[in-house]
Amino acid sequence: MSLLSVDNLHVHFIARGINNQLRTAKALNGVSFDLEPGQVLGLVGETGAGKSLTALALLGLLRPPAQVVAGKIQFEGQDLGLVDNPAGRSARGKSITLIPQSPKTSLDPTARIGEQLIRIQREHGQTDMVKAHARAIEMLEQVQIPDPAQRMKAWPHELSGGMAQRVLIAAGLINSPRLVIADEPTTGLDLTVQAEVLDIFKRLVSANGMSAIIITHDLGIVAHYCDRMAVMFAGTIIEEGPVGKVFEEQRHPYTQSLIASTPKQIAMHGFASAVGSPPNLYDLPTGCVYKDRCPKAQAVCDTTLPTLGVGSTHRVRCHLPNGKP
Amino acid sequence: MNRPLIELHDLVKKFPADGGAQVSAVDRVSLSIQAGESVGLVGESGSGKSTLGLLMTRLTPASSGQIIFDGQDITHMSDEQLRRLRSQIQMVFQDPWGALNPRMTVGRSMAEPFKLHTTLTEAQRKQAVHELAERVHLPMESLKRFPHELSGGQLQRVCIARSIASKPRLLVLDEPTSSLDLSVRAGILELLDTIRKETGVALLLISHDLETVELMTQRLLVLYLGKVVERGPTPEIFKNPAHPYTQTLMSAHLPANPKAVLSRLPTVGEMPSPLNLPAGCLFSSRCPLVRSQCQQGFPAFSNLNGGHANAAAHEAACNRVADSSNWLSSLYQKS
Amino acid sequence: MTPAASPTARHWLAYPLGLARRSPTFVVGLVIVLFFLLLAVFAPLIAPFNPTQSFSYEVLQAPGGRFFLGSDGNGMDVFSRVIYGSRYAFGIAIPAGLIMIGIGMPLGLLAGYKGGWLDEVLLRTLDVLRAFPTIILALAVVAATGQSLVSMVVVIGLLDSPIFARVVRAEVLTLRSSTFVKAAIAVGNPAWRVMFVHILPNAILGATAQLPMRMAWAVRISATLAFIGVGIQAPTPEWGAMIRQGAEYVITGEWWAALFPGLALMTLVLGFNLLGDGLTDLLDPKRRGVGK
Repeated sequence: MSLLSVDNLHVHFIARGINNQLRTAKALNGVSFDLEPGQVLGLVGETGAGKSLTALALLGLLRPPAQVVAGKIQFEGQDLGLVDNPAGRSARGKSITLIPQSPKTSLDPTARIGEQLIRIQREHGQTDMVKAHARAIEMLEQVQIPDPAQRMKAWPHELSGGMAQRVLIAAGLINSPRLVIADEPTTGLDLTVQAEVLDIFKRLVSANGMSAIIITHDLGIVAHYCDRMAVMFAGTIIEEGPVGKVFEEQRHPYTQSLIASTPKQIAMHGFASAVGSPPNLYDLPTGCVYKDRCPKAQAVCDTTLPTLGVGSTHRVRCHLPNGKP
Repeated sequence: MNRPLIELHDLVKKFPADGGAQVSAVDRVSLSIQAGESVGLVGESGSGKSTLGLLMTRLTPASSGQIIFDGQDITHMSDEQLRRLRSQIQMVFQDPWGALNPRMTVGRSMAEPFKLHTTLTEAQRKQAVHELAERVHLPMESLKRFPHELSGGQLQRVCIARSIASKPRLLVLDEPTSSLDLSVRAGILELLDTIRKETGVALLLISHDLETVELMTQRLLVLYLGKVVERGPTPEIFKNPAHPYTQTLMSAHLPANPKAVLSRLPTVGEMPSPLNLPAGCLFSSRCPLVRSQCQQGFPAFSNLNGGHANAAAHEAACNRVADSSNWLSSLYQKS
Repeated sequence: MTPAASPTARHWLAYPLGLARRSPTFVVGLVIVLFFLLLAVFAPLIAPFNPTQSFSYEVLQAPGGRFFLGSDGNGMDVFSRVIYGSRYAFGIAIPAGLIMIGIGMPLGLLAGYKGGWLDEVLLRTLDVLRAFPTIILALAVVAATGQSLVSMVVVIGLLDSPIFARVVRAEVLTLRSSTFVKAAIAVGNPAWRVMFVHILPNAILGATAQLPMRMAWAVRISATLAFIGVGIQAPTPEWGAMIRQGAEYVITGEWWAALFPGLALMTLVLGFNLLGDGLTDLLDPKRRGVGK
């Protein structure tokens, strides 16, 4: 049984435009994937693809104007429900945590680091303050923050970006969750710091047998820190599989265009053709969402939305899934 | 030898910091760019690369040093004289949304250089803007739109169009694709490449992304905490990064290829605070190869490719180059 | 990322309703201000009596009957006087507002952009103004220049300008360090164009929301001055003067002569303030939300 099973998630945003008419943005359109224990999944996509939204859905943090129109999320066999609900909350509890973006703004600026790390444990049932304190220091050690006992008294603004991100990792892992979701964990970090942070994250996750979802737009991170990857476009997963296979085979034209756009590929194969405008979530085409940008679109792509090919571990949502040209 | 298009001599930019101290964002940087060249500035936060861009375009005054453009010393030029020169040196900023006046249509923003630097009539200006839009592959109807109505990629095209309108001889690009989506970046890079080939404009590409710089530049300077630590032809530096910092940087890069072998090199600690810089070589506090010599004055440049002419010289400011002991890992290989 | 929605055919009420939904404060404020503006403009058509016509034998009549809101100590119709009073309110608020813009805007623009001695002068002036009770200041100046409507307007406009200038200055300071201003300089704009073509239109937006607040203050201060006996006096139907006069009779139980002008004053000032608040609401998210 999979640790996590997301099935056919549809989320819409309903808002009023300037002319006072209701507009619906179809932000998630049938997101489905499974995650096994101990796996690290990379969720890739561009702005508006729906990666962060998927994470919010997993955490039960969707609020109006986001509306869940369909779908099911199961964690360890239990149905989590899609919006905040008591059963879901207790099932999620300490088991699913989030490591958010922008470490500088995600930490409470009015509380010392140690206090925040203890607070998180207390909120999830830890009553022994001595144990909580010790655990906090232990976590700071694990994320390789020098002089952890001293650092417990530090204020968030005293930390560098890299340090703050490591504290966030410590905070996310302190209650030993089963699933960690890291949302763009290296935004704003220097290259050298990024590498260290990711190494620490990967090490801790695998040492404790956790599963993780890394949300990123950086293909390099996916290539080297994830076991599986899911490529998102316009609110749906268009290709999903083991990292090696997806990079090798690139069955979906969008995956091909993403990889072809990396400077390395451009250096080898020249500039690819122009890409077209981002999808309009208020007005998605019928049939395949990618067809307006796809160089291989044919008549069949206008009709039914292709379903994610089931069966194999490498699935693609395309009427004409070919390998690389 | 041809006179360089622009030269910087020992340029310094200091900023006041807390407690009355001063921080040197740029500390005695010298460089030169030939006409039509494409040069890259690479560094992490605090390297001073963005400040250098602002200094070169005279958007911020230098604390000391010289900037010589086309033989003229423009370091202390008055605003009025500078204004006329600005048609020659243009800049494209990192954030396309912030770089345009939100209350002006993009068409009007693109027309501004023509208004300021030419005597074209309004009709002629309109025509010029249309031609410009075509050149950067911008659909005509976007000209009537306001910045917030366009996507990042389109806005950056607008900014690039605006910057080439006055036919500049030097274009400074400060992280031109960092705020853009992956699929859009390639298009912008292609546009810049085309522009350089068609107009012969020199490009200064400031970036933290190694792959972009490798693709787009002929020469490269690596900056660390306000100083140049390595410089030379781009392919040379990528093949044989001589300075330990450059090596560390390159090893931290994650190529989008799961089969690429990573060789993570060890570093010690984080970047020092600019208020508390190490004596001597600025990288000495983190360098695994540090010697006592390294703390006595910033190292001079050592040549690595045997006395080539100025522009093609590959040099690193590291004491260990002299005895070839500057390789952090003998197993280091470019992925 | 989505392109702007193309306007489709819509009911004529859709836009105002959309506005109301986003800022009810604005709409309420607007309605109030427009209401009094209409009163001011159409006063001769609405008022039943000549405001300065005195009915000596019907002094201090209670509301109802011949005088809708009663008559005051001089036998003049309170209702008509309240209506005409709005003329004086706007007669002060609008010119004062214009003076504010005429003086305060360029002052704030220059102080914010150039800095230097101009900025220092502005800031010190503001310090002085803040330290002084404004009433005393206004009193002194009006007493010195004579108690005409014009002098009132000029004084109030001048007193308000530095405060408005400060708001403009704050906007300009923020904008001066923004990227598009740097870009404008980089493109080759001379300083005056940077100020007037790039900074000013963007600064106005934030400053505009302040304008109604300042106008509210202008109305209030002129009424206050009249109340303490400076500036406009009876029999001119100005609300402050009316309150001053009517206050005498409250003790003896004739409350209407003071209450109705007081209510009118309060409502209009509230209206201006709500309008300003609402404007801030409306302009802020749209203005800051440029881009993705």
